[in-house]
Amino acid sequence: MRTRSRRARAGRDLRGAWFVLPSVIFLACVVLYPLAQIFPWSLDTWSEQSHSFVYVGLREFQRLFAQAEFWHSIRITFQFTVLVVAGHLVIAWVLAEVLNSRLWPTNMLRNLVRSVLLLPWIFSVSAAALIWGALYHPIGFTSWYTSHLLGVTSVGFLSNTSLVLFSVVFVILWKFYPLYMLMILGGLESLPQEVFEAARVDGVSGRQSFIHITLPLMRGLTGTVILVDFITTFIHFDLVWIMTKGGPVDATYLASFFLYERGLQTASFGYASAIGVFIALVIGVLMYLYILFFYGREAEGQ
Amino acid sequence: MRAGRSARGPLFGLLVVVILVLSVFPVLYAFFTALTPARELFVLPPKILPRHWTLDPYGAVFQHREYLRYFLNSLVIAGGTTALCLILASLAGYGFSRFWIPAKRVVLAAILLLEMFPGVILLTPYYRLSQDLHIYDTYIVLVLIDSGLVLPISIWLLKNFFDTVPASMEESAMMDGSSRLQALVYVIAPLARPGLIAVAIMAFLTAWNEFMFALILTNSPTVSPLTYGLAELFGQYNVQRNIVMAITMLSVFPLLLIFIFLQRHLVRGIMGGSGK
Repeated sequence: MRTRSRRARAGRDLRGAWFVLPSVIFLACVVLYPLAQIFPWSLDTWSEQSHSFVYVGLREFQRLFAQAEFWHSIRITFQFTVLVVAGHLVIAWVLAEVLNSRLWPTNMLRNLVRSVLLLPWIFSVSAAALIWGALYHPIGFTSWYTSHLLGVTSVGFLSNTSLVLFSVVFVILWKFYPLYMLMILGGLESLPQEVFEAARVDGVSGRQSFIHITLPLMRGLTGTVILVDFITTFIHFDLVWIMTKGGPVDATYLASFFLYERGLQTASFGYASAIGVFIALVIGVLMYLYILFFYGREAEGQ
Repeated sequence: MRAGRSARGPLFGLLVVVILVLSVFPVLYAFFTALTPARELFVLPPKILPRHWTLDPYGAVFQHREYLRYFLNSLVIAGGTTALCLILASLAGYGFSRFWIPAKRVVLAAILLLEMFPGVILLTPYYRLSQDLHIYDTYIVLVLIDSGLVLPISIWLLKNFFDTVPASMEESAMMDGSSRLQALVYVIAPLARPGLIAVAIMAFLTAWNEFMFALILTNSPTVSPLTYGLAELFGQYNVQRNIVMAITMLSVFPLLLIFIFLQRHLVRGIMGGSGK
C-alpha cells in the first residue's frame, strides 16, 4: 500500500523520462528512422548522376514483380525457412525434454550437458561456415565417410544442386538451435509441477500428460518460437552467403541475396528498398497471423 | 513397472550421448584439426585425432599480421558496443522499472518489436545513411548498429532485474544524502549484477559475431572485424586447413572464456523471459 502511494506521487512528474529518453532517442535514430526510410525510398529510384533519389511511383515494384528470378528467390526462401523452423522445433523440443527429464542422476551433470549443448551459440557465422565448409569439402570428413557409406564416388554437399539447400539448412539448424532450446526449456521448467504429480497419481501415462497437459500449456511459447525463428530465418543472409553465395545455379538464392546483389551492389537503392518493403510486408502478415491465431483464440476462449 | 524403469536409464544415457556427439562434433573437429601437422591433413580415411600433436598452426596465425589487426578491430567494436549498451540499457531499465512513463506499455512493446525487424531490410538505409553521414567504414557505424541490435532486449532484461530490487534500497541511500544517480550506481547496480553481466555478454557476443553489417559497411583491414576476415578464408583452405581452423578457434576463445565463467548468468537472463 505504501509503495503504491509513493509510486503514485512519483507518477505526477516526468523525472523518469531522463532515464528512458537516451535509449528511446538512440533507437529512434539508429533503428526506427533508417527502417522508415525504405518506404519513401521504395517509390524512388537512385540517380547516380545527381546522387539523389528521384520519385518514380511504383515503377521499382513493377520492375521487381516482373523478375522471374525474384519469385524464384522468394520460393527458395520459403522452402529454406519452413525446413529450418520445422527442424528447430523438433530439435529444441527433444533437447529441452531431455534436459528437463527426471532421469538425470545429478543436477550437476544435467547443467554440464546443458552448457555443452549451448556451444554452437558462441560460434560466429563465419566460424561456423569455415568449420562446416571443411567438413563438407569433397575430400573432407563428412563427405568422405558419407560417400563410402553410400558407396558413391563423392557427395557434393555444396556442389550438388538438389542437395545444397539441405546442407545449408543443416548448418543453420546446428548454429541456431541453442536459443530455441533454452526458450522451450524455460517454458517446461516453469510448468506447474503439481498438475503432473496429480496426473501421475491418477494413473495418467507420460504420453497422455504430454499431450493433454504439456502441449496446451506450451502452445503460446511454441508459437512465439515459431514466429521469432520464421522471421529470423526469412531474412537470413550471412551464413548461407559465406557458404554458397546463392549457388550452385541459384539453388540457394535467398531473397536477401537478391536484395544485396541486385539492389545494393548495383547501387539501385530504390529497387533495394522496394525489396525491403516486400520483405517487411511478409513479416507484417506473419505477425498479424500470429496475433490472430495465438491471441484471437485465447480471447475467445476466455 | 520396475523393469521398464531400469531399461529407460541406459536408453536415456545413450540418447544423451548421441545428442552430445552430434552437437559437439564440429567443435571437436575444428579443435583437433588446429592441432594437426600439415603432412597429416590429407591422410585417408580422414581422422579426427592427429597422430602427432602440434601447435604450429597457431604459431602460423601470428605470422598473418592482418588477422591480429582484425582481432583488435573486433575487440574495439565489441567493447564499445558493450559499454554503450550497458549505460543506455541500465538507465532505461531503471527508468521503466521505477517511474511513471507516458504510455509505458506501448513504448516497451514497440521497443521489443524493433528487435524482431532489423536484419537485411536495414542494409539499404544503413548503407546510404552511413555514406551521407561520412561514417561508412568506421568503428562508429558498427558500434551504433550493433548497439541497436542488442539494446531492445537489454532494456527489457534490466527492467525485469530492477523490478526485483526493492525501491526502499535506493530510497534509504538517497535519504542518506546521495543523488539518485549515485544510488543507481552504488546501491542498485551491484544488486542487479547478474542482469548487467547478462547484458554485457549478449552485447559483446552479438558485436563480436556480427558479420552482415560488417560486410556491407566496412571494407578496410583497419576497421573490419574478425568475422569479415574469417569469411574471406572460406573456400581457400584446402592446403592450410589446420591454420584456418586455428584462426577459427582463436576467434572463439574469448567467447569461450566468457562463456565458461559467466554462462549461468546468461542462461538465467534468457530463460528469465519464459521461466526461471
